Amino acid sequence: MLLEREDAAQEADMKLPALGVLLACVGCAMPYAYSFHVENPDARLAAKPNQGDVLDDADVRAEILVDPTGARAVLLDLTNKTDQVLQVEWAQITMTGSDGSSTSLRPHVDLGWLLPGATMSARLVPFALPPSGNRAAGYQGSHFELLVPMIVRREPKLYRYSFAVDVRPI
Amino acid sequence: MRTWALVGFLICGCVPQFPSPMTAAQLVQYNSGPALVAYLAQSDASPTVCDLHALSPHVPRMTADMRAALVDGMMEGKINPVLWRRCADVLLERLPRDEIPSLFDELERAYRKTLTDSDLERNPSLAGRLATLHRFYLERPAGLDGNPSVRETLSEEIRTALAKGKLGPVAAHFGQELVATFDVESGRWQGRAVDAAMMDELAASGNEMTLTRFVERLPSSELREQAQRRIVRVHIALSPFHEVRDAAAAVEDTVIREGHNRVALGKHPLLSASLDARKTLVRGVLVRQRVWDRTATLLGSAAGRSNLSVLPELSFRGALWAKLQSMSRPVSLCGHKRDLDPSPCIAVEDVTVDNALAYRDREGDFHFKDHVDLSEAMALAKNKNFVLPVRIGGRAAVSLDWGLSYEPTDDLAFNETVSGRAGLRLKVRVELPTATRFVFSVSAPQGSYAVVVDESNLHDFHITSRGAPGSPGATGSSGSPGAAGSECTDGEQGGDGGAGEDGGRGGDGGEIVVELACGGTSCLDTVALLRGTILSIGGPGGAGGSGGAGGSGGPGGSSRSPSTHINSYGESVTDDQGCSGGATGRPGSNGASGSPGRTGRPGKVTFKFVPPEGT
Repeated sequence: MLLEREDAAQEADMKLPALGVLLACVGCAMPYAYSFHVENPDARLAAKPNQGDVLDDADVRAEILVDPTGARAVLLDLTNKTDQVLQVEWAQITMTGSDGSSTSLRPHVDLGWLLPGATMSARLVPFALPPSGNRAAGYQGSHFELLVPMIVRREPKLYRYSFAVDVRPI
Repeated sequence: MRTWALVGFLICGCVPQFPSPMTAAQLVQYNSGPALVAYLAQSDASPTVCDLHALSPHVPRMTADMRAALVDGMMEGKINPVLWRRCADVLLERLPRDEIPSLFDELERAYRKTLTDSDLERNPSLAGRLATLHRFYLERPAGLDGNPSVRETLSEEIRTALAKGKLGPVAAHFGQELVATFDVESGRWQGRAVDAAMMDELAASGNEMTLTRFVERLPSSELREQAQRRIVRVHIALSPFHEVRDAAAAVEDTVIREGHNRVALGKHPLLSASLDARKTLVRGVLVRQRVWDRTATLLGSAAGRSNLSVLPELSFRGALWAKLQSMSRPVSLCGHKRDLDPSPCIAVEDVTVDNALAYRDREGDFHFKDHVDLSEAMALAKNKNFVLPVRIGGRAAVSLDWGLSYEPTDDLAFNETVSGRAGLRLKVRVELPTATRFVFSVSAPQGSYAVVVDESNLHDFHITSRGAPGSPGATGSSGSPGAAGSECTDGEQGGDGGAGEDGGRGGDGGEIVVELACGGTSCLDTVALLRGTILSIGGPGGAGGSGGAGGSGGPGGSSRSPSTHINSYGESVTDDQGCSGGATGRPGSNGASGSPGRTGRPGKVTFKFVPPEGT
């Protein structure tokens, strides 16, 4: 059943280019690129397109790159700057949108804690937004917040990373 | 089938409508899938309605209609996924075993449909809702599942779709995790048999994610317990309590045995307590009274929310913190056993709330009766706020004060109905339990009634004893019809109608004796205020009778034809000219209408000052 539907979807995919041209002609399927910029004070914005913005405090350094149309994920590199193990509540991470939507994100592979000084890279999935059309354009100027609960120096701590979204036609 | 049912509903306009807010008790009355969705779609709805054994109102059983509506309600975005998950979790605990496969088969239907929905690859909300279904299935208790053939088919289809790259990135993420978890159920993880050594490696790296999969899905209870122990060890290593780290082995055994690390309050008495404002629910309580039914409904309001909703459940986990003797840090209430939290904690049974309308469920959360007798609603009025004093181990700990207000009600109007009779004699007792709240207790011949009115609503509220309207005057007699005219003559005029009778006098307002217990406020000011509220009103005079209709004129007499004869000369000779018929007589005049009766006089309203109740 699943495959039958997928085959049907593949057939539909064959027709998509033609349909895309048609829709593009009437301005409905314009492709867009998203840029997520960390809004927190003291954030260091990425110098290059494929780099993440960086935010750190005395305990944790976070580098974040949000890719909602390619990897359909949030790429999060965390560095434990403390002298104790740091646990990330990987199963409790959420991304909330300014429209009130909330999505639970998890690493694409199971992860554990960060030893002192260690860095861990997580591809948090799924986080997908429409790549084209009016729904994509509607995200221009919207905001998201990534909530990452951690246990830092044995204390629960909720890290909030806020993003402003810039959507531009490709 | 459901689509056609919906089309049918739309065509005939039969889409079910439900009250808003809908209380749990009202949901039980409707007892349908759409009603369950409507209830759960509300702010502060409680998942306890899904608990088939709950102390509070709940659905009596989970019908096929409800199962489908519950799943579709979440997937269509009507039910908050977090609330849905709590409802589904409690269902799994309470449903009869033989009904559980049907629930999972319903989930599988929605899961399969969404996994192949192209919108999944671009809609974060849809992905979030699918994730809720996905996690509910993966994290279900061991031994519970859907129909084996349905599950096998899905498993095979997903494996094939993944192998052929037929799923989008988002769908593939869900598919891969599902397949990996199926492997755990066979005792394997990433191609290796799961054993203690693997679990130790995972614990050493703090990998709770995989260990949690093992706890939930490994086939043997021994292996699942081994995984639980590793998670507890990770938690102990991270614990801020030195008491926990110093007694790691004993704490591990306790958590495995009991699910948490309960503190004995006899050994560690309460020193002080506080509420974490960020995690404490604050609501306003609005009492909606149905005075004539002598019942009331409690509803909730919240800052920043325009609509009323049901009262929320209240959980003190992580919100209520207590400092205990000989304990290095404040502790909160014990969490769910599946959390495997070794932190010292207060058992939910040790926490009570001194509020007659609050009760604790089996999970330790507090709920409120939302349908109450009016006497209970009146008892609340004694406090300015809806007060929730919390005790820990029998000792006063903290108090949570929610705002309390009473919704404006219709007037308490006692109207005599027998024409001209005086209004009912009333005795009204007025208490002011707070400076801005009035409690009226009315004794009338047909029974006793009570109502609470906030001062801000007093100007729109009245208690009245009204005399009956006067009897209407009788209609005047009709005039007699005029006599018919004889041949060739007019009919006679009809007789005049008689005058209508005057209306009767309205009944006087009933006598009202007001017993006023002013409490700390000025009685004279209060009397002045209440004179516009408690009223005796005369009944309106009866309408005057209308005058009788004039009689109709008599019919005119008949005509007569001329008559002739032929004389001897053969000439026509007229014997009689004949005559035309008579005209109809004039109708009589209508009688004059009676005068309306006089309005009854207001009855006497007497104020007496009495001491407040209980003094």
